[in-house]
Amino acid sequence: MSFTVDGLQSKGGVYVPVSEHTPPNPYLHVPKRDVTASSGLSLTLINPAYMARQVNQMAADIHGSQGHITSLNPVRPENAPDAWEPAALKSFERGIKEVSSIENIADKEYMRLMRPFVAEKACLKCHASQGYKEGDIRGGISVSVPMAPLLAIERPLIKKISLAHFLLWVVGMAGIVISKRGLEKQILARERTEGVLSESENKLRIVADFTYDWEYWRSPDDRFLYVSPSCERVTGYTREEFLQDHGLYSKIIHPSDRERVLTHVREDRFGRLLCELEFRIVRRDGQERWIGHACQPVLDANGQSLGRRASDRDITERKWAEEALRQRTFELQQLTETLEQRVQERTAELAKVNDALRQLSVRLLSAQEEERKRIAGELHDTIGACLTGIKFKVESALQEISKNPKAATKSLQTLAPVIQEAAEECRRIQLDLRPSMLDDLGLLPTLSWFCRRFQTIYSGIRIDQALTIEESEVPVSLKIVIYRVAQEAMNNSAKHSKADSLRLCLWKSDRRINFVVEDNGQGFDLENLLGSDNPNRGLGLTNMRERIELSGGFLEIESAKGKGTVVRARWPV
Amino acid sequence: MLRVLIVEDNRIFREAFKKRLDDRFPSIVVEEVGSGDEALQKINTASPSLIFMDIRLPGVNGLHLTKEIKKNFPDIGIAILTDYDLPEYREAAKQFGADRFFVKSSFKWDEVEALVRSISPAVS
Repeated sequence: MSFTVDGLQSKGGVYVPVSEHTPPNPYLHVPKRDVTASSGLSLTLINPAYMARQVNQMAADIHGSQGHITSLNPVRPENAPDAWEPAALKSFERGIKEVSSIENIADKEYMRLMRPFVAEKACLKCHASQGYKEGDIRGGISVSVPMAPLLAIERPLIKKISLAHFLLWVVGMAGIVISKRGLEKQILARERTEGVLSESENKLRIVADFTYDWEYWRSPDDRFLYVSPSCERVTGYTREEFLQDHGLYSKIIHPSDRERVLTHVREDRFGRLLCELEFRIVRRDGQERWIGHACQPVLDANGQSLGRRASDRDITERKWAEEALRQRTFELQQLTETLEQRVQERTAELAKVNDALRQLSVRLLSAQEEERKRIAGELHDTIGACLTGIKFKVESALQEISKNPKAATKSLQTLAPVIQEAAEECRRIQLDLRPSMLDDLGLLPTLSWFCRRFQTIYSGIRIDQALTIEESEVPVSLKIVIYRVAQEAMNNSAKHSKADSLRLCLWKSDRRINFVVEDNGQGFDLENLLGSDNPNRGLGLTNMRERIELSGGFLEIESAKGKGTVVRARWPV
Repeated sequence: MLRVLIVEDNRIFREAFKKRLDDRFPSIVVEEVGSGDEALQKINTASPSLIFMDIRLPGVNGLHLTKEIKKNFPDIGIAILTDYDLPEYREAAKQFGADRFFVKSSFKWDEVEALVRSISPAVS
């Protein structure tokens, strides 16, 4: 129908005989609307719209369908749009080429379709007066086809199609359900796999990131592929800093160790063995720390190098301990050597002392024998001789007593002085051995007695006594020691020094007892005396020293040739 | 009756000395002991007027014993007997309170008799 109208339109219309069904169009105002053919037949011009209306009328008569030419600006009043059409007409103005929908008209379903009339040049012959220009939407032609006959034809088909669609839907749904389940299983399996992978990765991450030591993996070209966060604890630098600055590693190595470490990195890069190294680093805070480094190659399945995996441990404390141990060992070794040396020296000293003691022992035994010999001689010569004489005199008196009692009595009377002499000798020997005065009267009277007796023997020596100590201040055990020191020193002086003056001082000062014997004699060379090979030389001095030291005291002897001798003894009390 | 005590650890000397006193003065009572402890006991029981005291006694010094007796019994006359005729001994005897000093080996019996008579003039 559209084609028909369009065809007519392009021609501007056709002339048809005037009839009851085709009267002249009263709304067509063009010249020669009505013409008479040469045969006399009256013809009128049918414009396209008129033609369309007639076609529509014919279609309505035959098929029940209704056609309608309309416009928002109709020439004919009956061409005004119905309720559905204005919306369609407006949509044409927006460029839509066709509008269709199922609508109810008088409670019956119609398929409604509408297409636009576009103002063409030919159209403007009649419609220019309405203000249209070429290309404007002049209106539209709509058709409403009743759906009832179509639906009647369509219903069985729809049923079949519906059934088929239903079956398709069922099959489809079943397929969807099955596919869904399958997909769900796949998704579940994938999720599970992903979960396992994630957990596994998490575990590996935790294992790697929570290492105490500084763990890392370097590529064959020395870039860090992994650095454990513990690097910060060890070096003070963060993992990110190592990952960003691949030269940081060599920068923090102690200058003294750097070449050694870099040589290891260069030369062992593709090595296939475990390498261990100890070196120092300088931490960010400037602290020097010792690192125990161990690395080994990382290889792929084909044996290609993926770099090296390393563990760097802070071993500073261990190194310090080792150093301290080394130092201690060294000190111990030195100490041991010193001790050994001292032991050797001591051993030598002890051997010397032992030797001296043996010599002393020999000398003492010898001196003891000499002393016994002397006492035995004295006893024999004095008391023994007296007693023998007394015995003879008593025996002869007893023989004579009956014959000549007077002579016997006289003889016995002469015995008394002899016996007294023997008693005196006995006391002298006794006093020489050990003066009982020391026990009976004490040290001060004994020293006084000794000095007096000494002076009777050595009358050329003047003795000056300064015994300012109280008897009670001298410990009993020291009395015999001081007496023997005096005896030895004074006898030595008298025998060897040629002194003419002796001074004895005994005093107490500041919890100390001091005893000094000093002479103005010729003195002697002490070292020479004590170093003499003659075992009896210096024996008296040795005895004196032994006595003093055994009683807890100290002895000093000052003597030099021509400068006299001073014997100083002191005892703490 | 005059009582005399001899304190001497040497038995021979002690007995000889006692005999000599007994012989010379039969009227006096002569007691004898050998140690300081016995001497102190005898002084309490026998109440002697004169004591002959040795210096070297077992466990005690006769000089110290003299001093102690003199402190408690100042009226008892005490004569020191010693072996040593030395000024130190004489001086010590005097300092410790002894009245007389006899050297055992050389004293004269006249001096002893004079001492006894000085204490008891009527002694026989």
